Amino acid sequence: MSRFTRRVGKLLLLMLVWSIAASAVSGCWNRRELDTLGIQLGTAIDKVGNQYRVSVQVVIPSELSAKAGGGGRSPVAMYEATAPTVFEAFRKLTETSSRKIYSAHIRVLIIGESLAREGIANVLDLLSRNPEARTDFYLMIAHDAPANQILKILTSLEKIPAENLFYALDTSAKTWAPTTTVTIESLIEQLVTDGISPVLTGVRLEGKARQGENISNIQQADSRTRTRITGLAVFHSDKLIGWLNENYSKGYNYIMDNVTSTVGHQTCPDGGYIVMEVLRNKTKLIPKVVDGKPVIKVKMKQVASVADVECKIDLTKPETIKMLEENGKQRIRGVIQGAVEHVQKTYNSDIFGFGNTFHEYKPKQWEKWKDDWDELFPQVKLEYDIELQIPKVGTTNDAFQNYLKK
Amino acid sequence: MQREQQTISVRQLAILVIFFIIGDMQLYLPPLTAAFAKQSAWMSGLIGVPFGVGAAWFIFRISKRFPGKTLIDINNQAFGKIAGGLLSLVFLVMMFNTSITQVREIADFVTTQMMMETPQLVICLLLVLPITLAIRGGITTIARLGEVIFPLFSALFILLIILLIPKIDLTQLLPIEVTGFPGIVKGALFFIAFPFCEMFAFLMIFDSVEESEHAARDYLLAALAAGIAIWVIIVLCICVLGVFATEHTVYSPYVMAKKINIGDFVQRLEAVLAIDYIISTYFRCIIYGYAFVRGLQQLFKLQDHRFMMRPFGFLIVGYAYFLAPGIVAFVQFDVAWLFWVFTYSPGLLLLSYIAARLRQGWSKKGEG
Repeated sequence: MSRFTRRVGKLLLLMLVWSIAASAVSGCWNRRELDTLGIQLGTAIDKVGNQYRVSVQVVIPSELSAKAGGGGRSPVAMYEATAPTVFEAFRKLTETSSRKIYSAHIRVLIIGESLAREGIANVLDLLSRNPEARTDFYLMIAHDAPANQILKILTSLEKIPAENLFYALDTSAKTWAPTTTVTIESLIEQLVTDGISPVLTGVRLEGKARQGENISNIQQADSRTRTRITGLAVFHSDKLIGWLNENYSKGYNYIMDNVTSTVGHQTCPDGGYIVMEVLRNKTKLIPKVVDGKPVIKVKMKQVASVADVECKIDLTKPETIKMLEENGKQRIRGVIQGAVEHVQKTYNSDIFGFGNTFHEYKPKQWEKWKDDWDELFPQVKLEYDIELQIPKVGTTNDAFQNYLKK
Repeated sequence: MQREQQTISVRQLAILVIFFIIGDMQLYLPPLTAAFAKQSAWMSGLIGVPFGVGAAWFIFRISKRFPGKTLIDINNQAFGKIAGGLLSLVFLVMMFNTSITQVREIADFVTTQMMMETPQLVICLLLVLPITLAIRGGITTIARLGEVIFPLFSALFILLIILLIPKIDLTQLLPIEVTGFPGIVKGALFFIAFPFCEMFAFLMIFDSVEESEHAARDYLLAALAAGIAIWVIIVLCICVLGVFATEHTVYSPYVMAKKINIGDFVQRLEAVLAIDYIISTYFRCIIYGYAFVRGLQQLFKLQDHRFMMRPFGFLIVGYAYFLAPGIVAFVQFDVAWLFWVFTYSPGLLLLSYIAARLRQGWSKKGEG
């Protein structure tokens, strides 16, 4: 009997412990239900006077669901607030938003050009300190437009403009040499490392801004207003100092080994173009000291294939392929040389990380040069060791243009 | 259930050693070593592993010299009841303090990275029950618990490392050596002190280990494996995050785990690391806690240790709160803590060992 009661007592005690434990471990201290959160996908930060203007793009879930199928309302909502600091501005958003903005799913951060010219370091601290935000979003600089304007442009393929920007950049970085992705960690690493300056992708507005905000913008197949990822913003320390055009951006990405696949053309001997698709590319920078001067050897290995012939050329001959390979090498050389010279002359900012290459492979030499790298960087000479293979010509050999009826 | 009859197998001891060494170190060592040795932190690890295993071996030797005796007995033998007892008390302070430091570390971590608005006190309260229950059960219970959890722990640990391999960028380790040797040695000191020298808590456990020929071998292999495991975490952290982020992120391995992304599908697995960290830190806490409670029992010749568990539970909450005003002050302890550890082990431990050996030699009683 007593044994039985003891057992029951033990059981009751166990149940008590379990229920206390269950209530204690079931959730966080301050649970937040999904319908009390505004999920933020894009952020734009501008500087207005002495204050930061933060604009966030929040998803409207009901407008995204397949069934409801767009009641003609915008799939996202924009909220803006202006405050002396970025975080205050973020919280101040609640003045207009009914839900607390949840930043864990942020895809893009767009920084206004004027803010970038003043320096971006202060903006970045919040994003690296705040544990809520994940760090797999991309940073962009709004070219010639306020950052919030970029986020407002409605897009059709991706309903959410921030997602559109994210994937536009993600896809083009993988398949198009002039663009590249930058995440906040790599940016901060570049900001604090000697001998390298960061670049950020630029994003530009095409068409009329006002029109882009309207839902009518996506009611037609050819949206009047769009955003375009274009060019790279060159930084010195944390300040934007200028832009690289498409060709220079390409050169930059070749040097930085950011190119995985891209497309480029060559001029044929008899005029017209032949287009190559780059399948694989690998670049290595080898630092050398020649006569006490810094020299960087660009060692590059590229595999390309003929993709498009828009001229008369005989692709059945091995000599032609040889010639194409030689010409291709010259072209790449030209692109790289052009980009480096342009940056050396115009910006004098070591965005290629030449100094860092010396730091990594020739630390003793770097110690000597470290302090006057700004004077030495424009004198860096390049050497090339480019290997280009064209093993494939696509599914056809000789171009049919050669057999056109007269 | 008499405590003295409790035994654990060598296998269980090895598991406890692994838990103890990896402990909170998988989260704290990467930023610490990187702060001193920069990108050469991996060299600190390379120096640290052999010396650390050496330190672990030294602690094991002591127990071999005095079979069946705990640290308290050795102190008594060395300096007599009063002086030896006082020395034991000094050791107990360290054990108590380190045990509860683990609780504070878990609470700090959880409130910094995962649940910012949760009061720290709540996290500590949640930990009180599992900690006191484990210590109350004694070393057999702790060892069995270790055996049960170890497969999960090691599987998650290995999974984490495998998933991070695609993110490795070896150029982050370049240039090889630029801060110079002093920085690397400083980093190595942390690598030796925190995981390995602190193992003197095991001197309260060795007497419960069953006789086995493989004891020394398994023990040292476990220490070596755990040392290599933390070394791998340091190398990964620098290769994945870069030196600056490793050094300046409070919990850099956690941020490193956030980087896992395989085909946009396997991602956001940082909780895996959090789970592993909490498991191993919990073991470090209960091993220290057990050493403290057992030491107290032996020192004051108490019949049972179980009645101490309730006050110990209260102390966990109170002392964890009292330990430091905030995380900034807490991190400031690190360098002081290093010397504190060295004072005990090898410092005081060696003193006690030599004195006890001399006494043994004089009286010709021990088996020398």
